Amino acid sequence: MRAMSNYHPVTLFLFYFGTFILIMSIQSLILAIGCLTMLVLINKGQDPRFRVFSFFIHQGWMSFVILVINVLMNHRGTHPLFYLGKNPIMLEAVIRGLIMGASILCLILIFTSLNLILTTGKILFLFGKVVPRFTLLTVITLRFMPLLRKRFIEIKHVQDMKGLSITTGHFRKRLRHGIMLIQLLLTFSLEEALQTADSMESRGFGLDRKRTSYVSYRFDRKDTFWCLIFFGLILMYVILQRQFYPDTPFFGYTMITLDDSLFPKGQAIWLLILSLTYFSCPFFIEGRERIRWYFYKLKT
Amino acid sequence: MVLLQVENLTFNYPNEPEPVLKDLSFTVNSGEFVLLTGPTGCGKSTLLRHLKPVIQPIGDKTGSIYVDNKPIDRYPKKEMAQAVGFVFQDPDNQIVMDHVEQELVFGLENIGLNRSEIKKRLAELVHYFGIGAWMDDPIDELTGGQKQLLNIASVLLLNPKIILLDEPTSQLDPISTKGFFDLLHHLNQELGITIILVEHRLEHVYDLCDRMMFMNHGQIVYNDTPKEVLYHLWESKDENVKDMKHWLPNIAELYLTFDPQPERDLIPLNVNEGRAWLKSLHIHEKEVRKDQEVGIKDTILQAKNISFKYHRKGKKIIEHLDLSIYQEDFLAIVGSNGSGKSTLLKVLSGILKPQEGSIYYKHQKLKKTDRRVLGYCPQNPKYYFLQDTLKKEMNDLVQRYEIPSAKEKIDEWLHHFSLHMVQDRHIYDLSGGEIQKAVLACLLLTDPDIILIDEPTKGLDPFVKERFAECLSEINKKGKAIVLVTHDIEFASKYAKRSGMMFRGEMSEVEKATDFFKQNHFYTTAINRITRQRGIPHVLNLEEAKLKWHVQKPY
Repeated sequence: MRAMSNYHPVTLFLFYFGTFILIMSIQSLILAIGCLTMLVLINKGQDPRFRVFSFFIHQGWMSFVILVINVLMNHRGTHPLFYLGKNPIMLEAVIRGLIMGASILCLILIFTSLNLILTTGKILFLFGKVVPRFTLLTVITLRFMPLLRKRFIEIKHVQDMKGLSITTGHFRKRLRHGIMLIQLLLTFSLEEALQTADSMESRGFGLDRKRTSYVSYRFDRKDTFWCLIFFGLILMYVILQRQFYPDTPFFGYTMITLDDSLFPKGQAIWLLILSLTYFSCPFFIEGRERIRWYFYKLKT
Repeated sequence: MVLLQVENLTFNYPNEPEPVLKDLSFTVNSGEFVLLTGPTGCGKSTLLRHLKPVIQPIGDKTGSIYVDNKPIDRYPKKEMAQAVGFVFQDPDNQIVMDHVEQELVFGLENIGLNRSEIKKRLAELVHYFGIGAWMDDPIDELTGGQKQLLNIASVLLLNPKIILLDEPTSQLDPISTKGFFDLLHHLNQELGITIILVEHRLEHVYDLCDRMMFMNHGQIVYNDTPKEVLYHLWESKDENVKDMKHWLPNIAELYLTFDPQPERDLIPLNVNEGRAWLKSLHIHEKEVRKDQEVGIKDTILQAKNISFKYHRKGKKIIEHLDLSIYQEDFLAIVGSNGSGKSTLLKVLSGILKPQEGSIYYKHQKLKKTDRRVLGYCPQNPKYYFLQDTLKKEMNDLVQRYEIPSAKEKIDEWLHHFSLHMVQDRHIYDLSGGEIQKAVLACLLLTDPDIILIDEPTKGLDPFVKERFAECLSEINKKGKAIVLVTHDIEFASKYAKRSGMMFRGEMSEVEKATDFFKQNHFYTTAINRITRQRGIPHVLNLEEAKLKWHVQKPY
């Protein structure tokens, strides 16, 4: 499901920006779970190698920690479950924690997908004109991540052989070894990066303020169409959300009531429908492409 | 037509008593392929960097450099970026972007070319290089050879008049190296691009280049055709170029050793020329007493039926491999890139645990506590040092392992490898050979039984390589087993006792090194290639020829 990557970077950016807004403003558990499901489906569609189970195992612990902290710290609500010492454990806090945990997972999923669809070339195109130096720096940093990882594994192996293990032994010793390895990695990489700088300069980097961009993207009718759709959906969502929760801030940690977050009624159902529609846009895009292809084959 | 002119160039790094470059003058004509070589530290890289102003080292410089009769310092920067291209040593470090296409256009975007012009140049070049298939690939997935190809391609897109290359193949395996030089030859012959290449001795470069400049101690000692320079290197009694016979390629050295009346124009530089020359000789085999068999001693390290892969669903890097290492063994493992050599070394050392099979040390399963008996020298020796000087590192090791009579041991090994001069220098300021020896000295502190070395000769000059090999042989004689993984066939054939080849995770029969290399067709020495099945005594290298050959003058 890569039909999306053929769209203009602006369209794509708008879409991901929208998902970001939606996720940040989730107030109900149903909505959070709905969004999470949709995002898992999107990721699975875009990258068949995406392993759902191992994703939840590897990333889920962070959500779990947030859930636990929230349950222990937050005592606002009307439905105490039980008492831990003198502190009541509230059902609201549990739900709030679940929402937050799900939102974190959603954000990770958004960035996973973004990484796949909005490639560095597109990032350069989007921001290259506005903040050229910064964008280039970001892109180069991105390139160095896998390199650093490879080097670190290599260093870990070599030092492990010398008896500086970061996987066995006393915790404090491991920590110290870890810091020493990182230090080695950074010194080494900085030294090596001098050559990168030389290589950039010798190919004329920084000579001309008017750096051109080779990659070009055409903003055509389908982009206009989808931009309007995305924009419209987000706008409607924001307006509805404001009407429904007039007193709470749009983003951020807010108090919730049980009814709203568990059993959406009236306008809240609309919010749910709107966001799910928004998240199914990638599937529509994919479907449109497939249908077009089908008819194209039929004609020829 | 003179393209590049250097006049009385002298350069001194700050705080150094002696200049690195001493009053150099030379010219390079348009369309020439110049090889610049010399021992480590002779100043060849420094000289090369002076030819590209943005990467000139900082220090006191006198003299002048002209490109196209224009002083290089007053050359407009943008034109300079295009006129002189530079390819660096490490394939990874000089790549900036993360996809092939973006990397290629990086320079063109920098000089502000418009899109259609970039597209045109790109299309042309991609076609010429035949790299269309991996245009969309992430850099991460390329091999070292492909990366270096990409680097030269992205420099070429700028339409340079001259390309400078600083040891571009030091990180590549022999097959990629050959490919890379063939490409350079094509660029030079077909596009007329001027090339200045800094390299160590490599068998086939001499055959490709038009001119060879040999540097030593900051001076250009010889500047002539390769054959002429090689002849001089052989003949010269000059103090300045003593011990430089190592720079001769094997076939040429064989010729100069055995031909009764060597002539400089007839020095053979490739296999065909070598064979033609041998035809004219009458060679008889001398009676040689059988050289001693490698005494099979006790097995010290044994791998039994090991299999290894990095990921659960990944492909097996090592498959059902058996290998025994004996006391005082010197085993060289050769094989192409990706055949699993380095991984095997890590498994043997216990860094990686095989999924199937086990490693036995003296018939007991290898335990973590056994690590002191195994020394592992990584492919990149810089990964070994946590401290900034060798002395600190050694002291640190001594403390960690609680080694008795540490001071004497440290001194012993420092002297043994003649490293006492550099023990207080920063590790990153050591030369390639010194840093290899430094790792070896550290490893030997814990008195290991087996030393495992990954690609020790990468980027070493022939002289240093020889010294390093002597070090290895010496510690081998002291009873240490040595296992090394290498691409350097000449090196392996000369020093190893036993040898084996890895292919797709499996190991061929491990044989006596001389037998092993004599049977090979491709993975073998140049001298073996010219002497096999020629009706003359079949030898592997110069040393063997000296033992076995008796040459008579042609009638």
